[in-house]
Amino acid sequence: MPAKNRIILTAPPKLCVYDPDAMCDTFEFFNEMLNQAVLNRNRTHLDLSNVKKMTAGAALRLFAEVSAAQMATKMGEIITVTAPSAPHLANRFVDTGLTAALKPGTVGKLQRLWATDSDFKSGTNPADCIIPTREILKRNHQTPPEPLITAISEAMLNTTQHAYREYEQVQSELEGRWWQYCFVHDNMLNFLISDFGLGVPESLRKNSVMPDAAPLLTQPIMEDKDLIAYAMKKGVSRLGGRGRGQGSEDMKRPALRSNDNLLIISGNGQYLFSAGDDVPQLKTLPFSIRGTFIEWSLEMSQ
Amino acid sequence: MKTAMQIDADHIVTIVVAEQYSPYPMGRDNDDGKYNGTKFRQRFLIPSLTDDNITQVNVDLNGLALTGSSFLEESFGGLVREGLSKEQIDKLNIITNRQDLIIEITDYIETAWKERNQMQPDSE
Repeated sequence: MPAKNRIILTAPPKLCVYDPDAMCDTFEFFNEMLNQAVLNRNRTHLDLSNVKKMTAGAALRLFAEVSAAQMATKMGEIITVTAPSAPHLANRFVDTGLTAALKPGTVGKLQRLWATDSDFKSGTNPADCIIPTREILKRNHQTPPEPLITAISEAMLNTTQHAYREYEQVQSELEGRWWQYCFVHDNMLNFLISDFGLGVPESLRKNSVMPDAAPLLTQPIMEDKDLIAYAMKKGVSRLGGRGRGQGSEDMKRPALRSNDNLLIISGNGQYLFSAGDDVPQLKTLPFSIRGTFIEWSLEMSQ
Repeated sequence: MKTAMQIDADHIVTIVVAEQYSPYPMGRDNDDGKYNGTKFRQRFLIPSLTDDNITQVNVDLNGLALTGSSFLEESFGGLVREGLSKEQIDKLNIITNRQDLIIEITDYIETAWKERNQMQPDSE
């Protein structure tokens, strides 16, 4: 039961970051939570009891949004959550460790999560987190593919190096922070990682050190999806500098076999790289997300 | 981390990265972590490649849990940026059961050479 004197926000029945219609409802829900808890400092209760469907991406973003709000306000109790009533979702909340991840707390809670079985983690130090992340992958897949571990390490480095650069409004507790979730479903190994940085498109727009990008960036309307696709080309780096810009190849390498996918959402752009496609599928979404969301879905038999 | 290098009778040094440095090498510099590419290059590669008594430097990449581009580019492409000569870098012999890593490292070195040549003023 929610405590008294809290703003109660009721979640939509479907929390999803993939389906465009549900995505709007989902991110409007998150934004309202941000308005109430972070901007207005209102003690807020998220009522998820009527949620009937919740995708993995939405679960990760919920974890990220709640814990980011807790840290930004330095008020661990600022947000409380009622889990979905639907038994399959209620069980999954507990089994995956999402319940523990959503508990009241701030940085210490996120640090302690690394010592638990929760599939939801958050970190700021890639070198410290990559070994336990490999162990999490091994829990889900006896021999996790090395290219995936490498890709995750590069994504973590990207977050600490790029994501929050030039993002003046970021709270120090959030700087360089990512949130991650790993699970297996339908013989697919899925790894999701997200941050609240500037985002790939905005970061590219702010960066003028890439000579090849000049014609692209000066076009009057350059959509986010195109900028993500540009960023995923070999040799493109938001930092500039010789030898940089190789990480996009690392990101794609785990998804080079049929049925494997790499999904990136940033701003309102969506980039889907599938091994079977000649070119990545690009889409403009109806909602612009903060930061970046990345998901690898890899067939387990490999 | 063991930095002492054994030179065999044929003047060949072998660096087993996973054992002598880390199975989890990562990133370019200290900001990215303890076992980064700059440190590996400076502690292991440059001392052996610039030693005139050493004719070949085997770098064994087998057993690594991570083979990220940031570490590999900084380690090997960085040799060119650091100013080593072609003869010194040619002493490198990469040992790995992954052919793609050899191609990748070769590409980093060749790209770094192109960049270095572009930066040098034309000779009269």
